[in-house]
Amino acid sequence: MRGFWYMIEAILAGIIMISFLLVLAVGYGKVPGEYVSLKGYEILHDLDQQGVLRSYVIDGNYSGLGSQIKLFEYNHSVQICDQAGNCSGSMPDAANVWIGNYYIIAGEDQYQPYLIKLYMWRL
Amino acid sequence: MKAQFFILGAILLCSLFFIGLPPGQPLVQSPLQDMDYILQNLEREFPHALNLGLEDENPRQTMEDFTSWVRGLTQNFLLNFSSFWVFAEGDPLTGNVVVSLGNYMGSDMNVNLDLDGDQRNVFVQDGDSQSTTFSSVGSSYDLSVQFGNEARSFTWQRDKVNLFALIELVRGENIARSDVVA
Repeated sequence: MRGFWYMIEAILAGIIMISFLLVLAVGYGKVPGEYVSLKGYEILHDLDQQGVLRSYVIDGNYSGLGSQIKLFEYNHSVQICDQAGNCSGSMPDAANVWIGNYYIIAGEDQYQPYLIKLYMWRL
Repeated sequence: MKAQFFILGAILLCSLFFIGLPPGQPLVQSPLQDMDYILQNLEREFPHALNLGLEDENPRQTMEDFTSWVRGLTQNFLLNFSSFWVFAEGDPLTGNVVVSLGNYMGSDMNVNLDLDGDQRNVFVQDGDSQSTTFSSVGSSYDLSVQFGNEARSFTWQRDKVNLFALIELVRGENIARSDVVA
């Protein structure tokens, strides 16, 4: 019976120790999906604020737009879709799931609505 | 020997406990996270669409087109999009104000307008827009709009284009809503 209680104590000690180590470990307790989604939106919004995004989109230059995006630990691809639903650019080339961010613009100097899709996935 | 079995048992139960824990958050976008971002995006783009429509001298058609397009897009994001917009264009030469209404709230509605006591009732089908003209409007005017269960009041300048847009995104029990005034 004493041994049984020693076993319980050992189990509890093990749980406490490993939980403590996991909390200290990088990434546990964060919500990477939420952070990356916010990051993706901020990137597109910042490029729009800089006056860079719309000219690339109107020109259909998805690779140029993609080159303006710098992400650490993530790969990304950009698609530009017009009002008719025709998209230029590439879908994610990843085995794992990815996060998609969508940005809508009404146009730059004239009314030409586009949807910009930014896909991000871990390297 | 017995103690060793107890130690083995402790290690085994600890391992089972941690195997049962979720391995951290998967890299999947939660359906709740994008609503705020899309709403902020639309808050900026609706006035921009109106400006572009004014440059093309076709504001009402542009707003209709843009709103319909956004409605179709958001359905692909599994979002239920609703919008009601009002914009007013004043003519300083004639003193007329043209008030245009766009209804994308999901049902036809009678909209009550009151501009400085001049009351109008305008029927607007869902997915459509209508205009009405008020004459001899002062340089500043009060406009009240009642649509469905909603009501808004504004004090606008006649010699400027004024916009109000209600934008609502719904997914399940989550609602993101905003009034845009420009």
